[in-house]
Amino acid sequence: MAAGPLKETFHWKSDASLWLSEEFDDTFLVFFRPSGETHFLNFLSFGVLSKCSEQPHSKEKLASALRDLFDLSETELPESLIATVIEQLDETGLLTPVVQS
Amino acid sequence: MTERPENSEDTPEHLKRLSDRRQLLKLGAGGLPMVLTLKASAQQVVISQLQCAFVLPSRVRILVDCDGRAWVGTRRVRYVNGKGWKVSDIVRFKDRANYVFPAGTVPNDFRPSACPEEICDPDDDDDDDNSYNSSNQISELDALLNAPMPSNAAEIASFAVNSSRSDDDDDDCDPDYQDNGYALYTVNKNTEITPADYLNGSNWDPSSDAKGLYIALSLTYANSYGNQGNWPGISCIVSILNYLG
Amino acid sequence: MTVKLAQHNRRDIASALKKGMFTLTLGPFKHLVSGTSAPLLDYLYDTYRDYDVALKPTDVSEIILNLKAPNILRRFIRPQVSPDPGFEVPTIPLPLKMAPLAFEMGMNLSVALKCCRFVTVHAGVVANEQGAIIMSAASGSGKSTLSAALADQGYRLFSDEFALIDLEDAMLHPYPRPISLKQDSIAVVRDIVGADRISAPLSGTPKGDIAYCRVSEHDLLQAHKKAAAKLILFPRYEAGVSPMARKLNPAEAVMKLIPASTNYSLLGEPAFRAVLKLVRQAKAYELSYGTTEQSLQLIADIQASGAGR
Repeated sequence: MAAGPLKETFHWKSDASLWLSEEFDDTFLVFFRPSGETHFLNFLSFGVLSKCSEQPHSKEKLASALRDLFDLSETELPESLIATVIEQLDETGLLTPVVQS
Repeated sequence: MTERPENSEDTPEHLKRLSDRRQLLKLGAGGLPMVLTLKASAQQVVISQLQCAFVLPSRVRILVDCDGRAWVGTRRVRYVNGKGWKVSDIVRFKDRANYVFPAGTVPNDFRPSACPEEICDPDDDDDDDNSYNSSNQISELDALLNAPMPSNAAEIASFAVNSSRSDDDDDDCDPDYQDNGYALYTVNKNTEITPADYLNGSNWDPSSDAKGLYIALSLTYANSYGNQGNWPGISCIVSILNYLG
Repeated sequence: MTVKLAQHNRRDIASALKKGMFTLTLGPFKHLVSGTSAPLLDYLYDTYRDYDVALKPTDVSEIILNLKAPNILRRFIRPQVSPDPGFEVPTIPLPLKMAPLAFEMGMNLSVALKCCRFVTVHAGVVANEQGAIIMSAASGSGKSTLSAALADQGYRLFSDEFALIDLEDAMLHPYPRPISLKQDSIAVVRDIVGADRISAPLSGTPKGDIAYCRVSEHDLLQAHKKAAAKLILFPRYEAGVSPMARKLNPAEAVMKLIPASTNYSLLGEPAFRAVLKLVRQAKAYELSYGTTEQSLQLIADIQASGAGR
């Protein structure tokens, strides 16, 4: 579903009405209505999805918010890992980029 | 969607969860996917079982003797017009075969049309017909399959080469070559094989080309090892067998 | 009128099959079957003797299966039979003597690809008063042997092929067709259930010998009783392996169940909800074992530990 190369300036959002989720011991099953696919997410990828369903976030803001949420340091949760997760969620269609004016 | 409450207490459970999460992040940084999509469906499997095809990742050569044994490998075996197969190539091919199949495996249509009756031995002037020693025959598939097995293969090779010398009445034979007793088939790299093309009703009908021989050997392999091992295309063959069964 | 197949006159059954009016009622499905081959009639008369059948359609049939020659030539020369489930699907014509195999294959194709009332998962299912055990595994993993062994221990056989999961409440529906046995498992199951329950082997198939284990009359009588899942097992037979059970996170169980479903993608959200209900109510384990006895012991140990009660 990725529309093209990801840009540093992208913000990301998710429409929570399009998916259903269920947690089982820090793992999450997410059913995405538009594709009919079921995805298996861990605490981090689901954390990204959750944050982006509240409001659009940039990669930097997501990293910072999730470090606070999960009590992690910058070394433990580097921005590069958030970028990887965003890319993987973008592939599924669960996240979409928002062009910031 | 609901936000999970975070437990801020330093309970053992919370600490373990933190530790598990940190471990997961390390794996993520190392390339572990953080999102998995469950796309596979037995529906596709059911449909695709008969339609599966596979592509050979490398060239496969199959050497077949008169008794229906087969050696599967990659090495070259030279054939010189007027002389025959180069014996040293045959020995080496058998030595380094990736898979060895016992007598009776290869369907008749693929076996060499001319088979030797006597050993060519330039030092031996009598005409003893000692070309075949049944005690050397391979009895159990399981003992031979799943090569590489150099020692066993070498033993078979020496027997087979000796047994395959041509009967040359004038004893004017060249021990470096033998002019019959073997057939060699080659299936080239990147050849696509669709096993269902070789089905006639529920029966396999591989008697047409080298790909058919490959199918025949695959069936023998599947009967002993199922999906195990590295035989190229075996999962496709096994899926068809499962469909049929 | 629906009565047991064995109570019908053989000639009447042959006639109903020929006219396409033979109706087999089993679990949640009515099957309308047509065919003319003697091996099919022999097989049904033996292996399906205790099933409820009618010789005239009594209702709408969900599964319609026609066993016919793939072409006119194959009706007469080296006769063959091919299952036609009424929709486009690749099938292999089989020699006439293998009509039972064509019949079972056709039934499987129909349920796997056409059934939309349930989430269908390729799995064996048995149940007792405490609930049902789902055993999801690929062919060759010992699923059929394990199903037969558990049935012999007093469990009701629901199916050795499909778990039919209700979309509303995730209850499992029985669909006790004969257990399909291949190669070595024929002798193993014969020893467990007795020779009189095993059909005459079909030999010479590309898969080797195939036989079917008849379902007990007791299980057929209860084929209308649903059960809730209490255990979801992913058994893996491997000769010589040490027996082991590993408990799975329910999400892991879902990950393994979805690829084993034949219609999950087709059903979408209702299937997702039903599968979640299923894994919430049951414990899931991955089993590795080298003998049937080991697998039975592993299951007994899991039950004794309190899981799956």
